[in-house]
Amino acid sequence: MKSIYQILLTCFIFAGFIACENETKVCDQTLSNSLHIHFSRDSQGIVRDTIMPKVTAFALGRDSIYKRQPLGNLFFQLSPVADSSQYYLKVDSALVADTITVRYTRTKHFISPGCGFGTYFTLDTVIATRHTINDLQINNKSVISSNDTHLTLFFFNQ
Amino acid sequence: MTRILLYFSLISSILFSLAVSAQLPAAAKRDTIHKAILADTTHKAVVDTAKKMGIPLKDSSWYIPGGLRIGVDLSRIVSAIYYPYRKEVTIVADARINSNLYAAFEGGYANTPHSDSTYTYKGNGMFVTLGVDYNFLKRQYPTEKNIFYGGIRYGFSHFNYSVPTYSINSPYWGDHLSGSVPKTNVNAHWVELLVGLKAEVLKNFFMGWNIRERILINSVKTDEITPLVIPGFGSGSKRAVFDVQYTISYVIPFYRLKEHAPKVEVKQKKIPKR
Repeated sequence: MKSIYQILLTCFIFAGFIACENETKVCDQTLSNSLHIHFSRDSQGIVRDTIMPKVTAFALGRDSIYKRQPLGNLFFQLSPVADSSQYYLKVDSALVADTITVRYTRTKHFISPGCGFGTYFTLDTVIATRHTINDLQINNKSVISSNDTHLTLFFFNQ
Repeated sequence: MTRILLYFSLISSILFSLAVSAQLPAAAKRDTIHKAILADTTHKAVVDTAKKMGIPLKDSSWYIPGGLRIGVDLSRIVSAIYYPYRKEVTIVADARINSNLYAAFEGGYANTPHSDSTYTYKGNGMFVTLGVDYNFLKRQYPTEKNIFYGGIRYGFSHFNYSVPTYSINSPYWGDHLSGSVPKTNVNAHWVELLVGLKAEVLKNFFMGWNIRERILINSVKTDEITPLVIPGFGSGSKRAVFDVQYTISYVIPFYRLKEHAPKVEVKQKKIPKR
């Protein structure tokens, strides 16, 4: 009987220390909230997902994000210090490139004691040149997770 | 003739004395039995009457030690070493209300500084908890002060926090955004349930531990920031937290309480109804 009490006491002591984990040392929920763009085609009223053969994309004045890759989805990081970001998008080496301008509002967000702060974005308007892009649609204005699709681009049928 | 009378009186006196001596032990025996019977009867009659009438015995109440017990929580020293963003001082106190019930109070102050590569945080505040403890330990003698108890508390904390600087880095854009969160005052309310023991290791000097679960009633989170620590509660990002206390305390025995003997219930024989 005495040993049972001792075991219980030990468990309680350990439980007490485990309960007080140092939250400032652990970052287990990094904020991944890039702008998720999906590619589609509208073929006589029938909308189909599409994969563009050689996609090259980058933010104007910055390094390349994608270089001649076959892609059906794009993930763009929005600038945390400006209220708009501009991207160059060329979906095939033979086609003319388009420019996409994304305007948004920013709010700071406390992720966790270990991860610190991040930025949530709310889409305002998206403007694109129409060389290869036929139309675009904002699916979700709130950019808080990359798992959501925020924007769909509809390309011309070739 | 005179001689005959003398002989007769002598013989009769001898016979009478014999008769008396023969009768005396018999009379004594009869008296003893009579007394014994009387004593038994009286005793039984008194006991039965007392029980049936519920008349309190002469020694049916006594005094038990009361007092104000004041102490500190030593576990906060350990937590301050391992978790430097939670520097807390906790004073614990309780006062005996009756034989098994104690009014309990805890109070303290916490300083919650934190700094790392992405942000700095400052916070401080005070807290109080009020409640009762109930002793489950059956005392082995009336003046025993050791207790094994369960308790409930209401907790309240008034605190403030601020983030003097923070920065958000974007590896792709090569930019980092700096900012700050101004000082904000917050109130937090919670309920806690606990179980523990306090043992008298020296005269009026106690050591004890308890484990407790705290459940937050109101949310202190905002869109901008969640406080790192709620003083007296624990993590600001959790709705319920588990905690342990190790206390040393001293009881100031400036009053005593009168305790009455529990009423003895006489079980009445059930008479079957016919």
